[in-house]
Amino acid sequence: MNLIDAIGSFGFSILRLSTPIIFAALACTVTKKAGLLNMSVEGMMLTAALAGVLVSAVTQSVILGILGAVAAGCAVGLIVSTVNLVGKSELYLTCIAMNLIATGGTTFALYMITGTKGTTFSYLPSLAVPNIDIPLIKDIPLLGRIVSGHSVLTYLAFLTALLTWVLIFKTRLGLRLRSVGENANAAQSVGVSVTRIQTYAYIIAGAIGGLGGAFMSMSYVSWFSREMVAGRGFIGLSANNIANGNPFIALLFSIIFGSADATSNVLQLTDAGMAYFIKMLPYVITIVSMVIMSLLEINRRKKMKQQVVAKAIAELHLEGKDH
Amino acid sequence: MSSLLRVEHLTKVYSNGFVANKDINFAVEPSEIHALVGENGAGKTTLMRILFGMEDFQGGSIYIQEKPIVPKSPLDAIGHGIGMIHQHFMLVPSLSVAENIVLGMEPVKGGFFDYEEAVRATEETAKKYRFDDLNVRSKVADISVGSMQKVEILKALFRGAKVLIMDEPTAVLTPQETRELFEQLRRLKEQGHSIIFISHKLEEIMELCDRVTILRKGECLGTYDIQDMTQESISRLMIGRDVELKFARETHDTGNDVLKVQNLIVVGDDGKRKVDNVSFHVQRGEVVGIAGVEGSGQSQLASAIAGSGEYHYGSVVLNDLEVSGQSVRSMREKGMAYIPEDRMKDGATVNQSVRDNIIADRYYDPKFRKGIFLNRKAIDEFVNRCIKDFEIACDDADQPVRMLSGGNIQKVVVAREFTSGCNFILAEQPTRGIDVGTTEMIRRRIISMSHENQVGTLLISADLNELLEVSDRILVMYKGKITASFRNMEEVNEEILGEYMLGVKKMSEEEMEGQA
Amino acid sequence: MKNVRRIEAIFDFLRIVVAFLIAYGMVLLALVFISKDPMQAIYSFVAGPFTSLRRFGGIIQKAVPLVFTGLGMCFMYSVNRFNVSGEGIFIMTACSTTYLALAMEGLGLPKFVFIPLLLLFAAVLGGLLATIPATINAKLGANIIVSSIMLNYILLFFTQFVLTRLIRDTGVSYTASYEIPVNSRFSEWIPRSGIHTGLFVALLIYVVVVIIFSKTKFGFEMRTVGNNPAFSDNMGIKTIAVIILAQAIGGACAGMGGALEQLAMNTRFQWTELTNHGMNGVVVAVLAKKKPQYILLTAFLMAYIRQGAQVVSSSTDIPAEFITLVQGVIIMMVAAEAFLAHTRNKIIYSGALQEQKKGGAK
Repeated sequence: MNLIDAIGSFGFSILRLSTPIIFAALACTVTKKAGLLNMSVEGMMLTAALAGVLVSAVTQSVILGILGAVAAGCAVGLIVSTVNLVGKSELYLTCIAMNLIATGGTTFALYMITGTKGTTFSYLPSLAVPNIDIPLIKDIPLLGRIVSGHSVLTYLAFLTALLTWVLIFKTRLGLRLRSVGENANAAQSVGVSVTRIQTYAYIIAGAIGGLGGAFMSMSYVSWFSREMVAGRGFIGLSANNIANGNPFIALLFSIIFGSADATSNVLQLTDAGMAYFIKMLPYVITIVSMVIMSLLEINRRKKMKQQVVAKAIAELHLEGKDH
Repeated sequence: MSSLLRVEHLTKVYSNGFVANKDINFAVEPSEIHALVGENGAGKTTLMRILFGMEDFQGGSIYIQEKPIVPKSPLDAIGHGIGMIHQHFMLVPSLSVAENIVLGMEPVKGGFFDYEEAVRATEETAKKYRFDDLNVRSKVADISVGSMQKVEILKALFRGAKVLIMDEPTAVLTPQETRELFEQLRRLKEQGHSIIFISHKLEEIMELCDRVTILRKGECLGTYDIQDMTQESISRLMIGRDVELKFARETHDTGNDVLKVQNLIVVGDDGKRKVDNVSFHVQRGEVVGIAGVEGSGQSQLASAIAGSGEYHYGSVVLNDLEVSGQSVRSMREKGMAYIPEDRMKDGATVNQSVRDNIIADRYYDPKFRKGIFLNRKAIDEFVNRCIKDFEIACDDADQPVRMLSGGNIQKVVVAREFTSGCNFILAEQPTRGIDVGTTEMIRRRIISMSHENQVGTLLISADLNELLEVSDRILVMYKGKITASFRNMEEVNEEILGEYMLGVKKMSEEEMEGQA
Repeated sequence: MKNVRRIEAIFDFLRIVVAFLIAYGMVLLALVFISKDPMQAIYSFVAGPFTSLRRFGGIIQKAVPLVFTGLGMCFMYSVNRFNVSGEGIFIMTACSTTYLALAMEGLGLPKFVFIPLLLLFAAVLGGLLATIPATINAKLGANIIVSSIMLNYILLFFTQFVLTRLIRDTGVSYTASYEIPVNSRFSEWIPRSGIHTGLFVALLIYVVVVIIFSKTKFGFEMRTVGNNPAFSDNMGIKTIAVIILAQAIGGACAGMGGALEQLAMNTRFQWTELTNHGMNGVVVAVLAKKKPQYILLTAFLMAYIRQGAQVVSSSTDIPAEFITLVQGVIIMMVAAEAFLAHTRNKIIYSGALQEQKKGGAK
């Protein structure tokens, strides 16, 4: 009984810890499809986390808190894409700058509002997103323990994966997004504005990243503390990098990476060293998969070329006999 | 009878003062396949770009069905019924045929992209124009090049194009696909569409087109009915004859082979043989010219020799060593000099100084070094001498090359290559787009190096004047093969070269051996 | 023509100065708004770093690691690769140098042997680590930004693994290693200033790097490869080798910086998160227009405003981290090609017109 309980609570914590990674990965998926690397997702989430706390504390409404977080994420996306387009800078530098601004800016804003440097805990009456039990499923012994009772935002994360897929593959915007990402010239030549589509992509990514931020400060814990996103955005980025723009594979790898996180949390109490070792795994997996994918691609191209050459040379010998 | 598309007195001057189109007049009638021919640089591309709204123009007017228009963008041009099929397809590989065709004007139902409607609309258009074997649901990445071209044509028709501009459409096709395309184009013609067909391949033009407009050096020589023309007469008009031999030709000794190319085959990424079983040699002290219309395999040949491109069969022997086994540095040390076609990308590093550019192949020479340090004094002495000798107009050796004019950039390139102590020069379009003075200087130097220093030169050029002036021997490349060889420069002129370059004529192997 | 060059150079410089001034102005403005005693806060920020020897020493202390990571980034930039592994390398070499110093404690090596040995080890380790993303990128074409960020986190967690498993001193209440041996520590140069002798190592490396860039064969190769790889290939330069080697040297710089910071500033290894030294190195390098000769200046400037922020923080309770915000704004402005470009082009254009007029008059 104890073991089942332990497994149950472990499974529960996997889903809980995966949630922000899923949002981050999906935020990267949207821009990736438009041909852009979204390194600013970390800043989107951090800004949104603070916004969620502030808005919910002021309005005493969870919904408005989440919307505030989403709006903040969108604003970050808009800033990144605008600075990039208007300023003609390199995207990665803009994103790094944006992340620095988010880190410094949230700490700064935190101080301005609460007069403290660390967290809003006990300073702001911010709200938490409720957890919900799923009827029927919650009574199934192990499964109920794992999948029921999560934050609304956790369920929303899975739903968002589906919605992202719908957006990319079933809507007009998605079609244009993909065309811009793959062949911007082709899109431009039929009147699709590349800059506009890329800006949309960044704003949508901001909204999704914003939900991830809201989860951090309104579900994971119910306060804001500085640098609370702590690299989760980058884990999401790598999940998306492996998935290569497929939202469901991104979801899958987010959960795998979330499992590493959960494992590491469990180990933290008994074997802290091992816990850190496990934390390395998502990043190692990402680099290894990058290497494997590149090798496969190079190999594929090489083989194709070899075949063509072999065929051409065979033809030549035939011609030679004809003479 | 009212024309479908008419161009009157069209003139285009680029911001650097280059006149690309001078007073062009021509008209395309309804249901006509109209050929547009001209040498490289005759102004075809500019003219097309103007019609398709990608370039502005300074004088003249364009009429569609006698209504004056000014195409401001490709989208605008499409709105006026002008479609264009680019050589590089404007398609999104991971999308289906139908999605590619409706992109930008997608049907929407209930907020979602209506794929079935897209398929239906695409199939309807495909049926109307009898693109029978096109599966509109397959991904573009999975279909053949010929089908991709059909998708491009369909895309233009779907948007209501009446006039289709096609830029060398057969360059990427197999013979079967070409035949299919021609049938397709004839059907379109029957349905009232007109096609502007740009090609170097005169046999195709004779077979397919109704009329031909000929451009030469930015000017329009007029429009002719195909029935009245032969391949020879078109070629003569295209190439013209205005050679002026400026350099006195003198007989001189040649030595042993410095470059030997045997049965060379280079296969492109598209699986086509770009260089197809080519053999020739260059002796010390001689200049061998290679003529050919663009895309006949010259650039692949050049990169194979320069060591920057791979080759798949045969051998390239430079200074008695096979190129493929050597580093570029060791080839250069043994005497190769290379003037690449694209001087801004391959010939110079434009953000760096004149000094950096000139010493880029010899900075490691003990002459220019003190241990691991560069010997700035020795370098400056050398560079300043180059600047003086080659009359490079720059402030000083520190000036970034990007600030120089095209001619002076090329002078920097040749200053490096001609002072490297070479015994072989590979020169690719060495005078393209540069001023007369520099052009003459470069040609004179190529000749003097070959005659006085016994340097062997392979000169690849689209400029027939240049080839006739400088070369001791000329080879012609057509579709990746060498189709002619001329040893006696008195017996050859631009017209004759043109006929071989355009595939009107072809020497037999015996004839060529007699020459070589 | 010479005019154009001068205007371009002036504007390059001006862009940095203006960006810096705007950011500086932002800080002052913010201080006015949030502080109860704005004059005091501004005074602390602007003059604070110079009000005592220890505070001035703080600038130098903060500048030293930035010189290393900034120079490291210059190498990455010189071959046009945005390899940000310096961040992870910095913490990694700090940790592994601690481990090595502890392991070699018994040998009782003299300082002048022990410290250089440790720094050399750190440089080699840093070089090897930076080669990982560099090679994956150069040989396989994988995205170097993603792989180097991944590497940073791998290295962070690896150091925590080493710290908790191998070198943790359970005798202290917080997470930290044993104290590093005394003969491996840099000593204070000026008493009670906090300025340590590691400063001289930084200056030495700075000079060496500037010479490598401007005077050596390899400097020439990096410049050419970074500007135009296709051209370098044609000239017979081994482009890929140069690209990888340059990044290895960049990693070595960052690695040496991490070790030096550990040996000079801390008696125990106790970092539990990324220190941002690597990312600040990016800021310093971008501010320096990617040119190593300016690194000393930009590292000092950056250290100065950070020190100012720290003084403000200690005297007014405003968190020093807000300076991160300012750094972000500076990068955004300096990185933007279009920033001040309009004015520059106008001046170049009118200059060209004037020149033409003069020419015409002749």
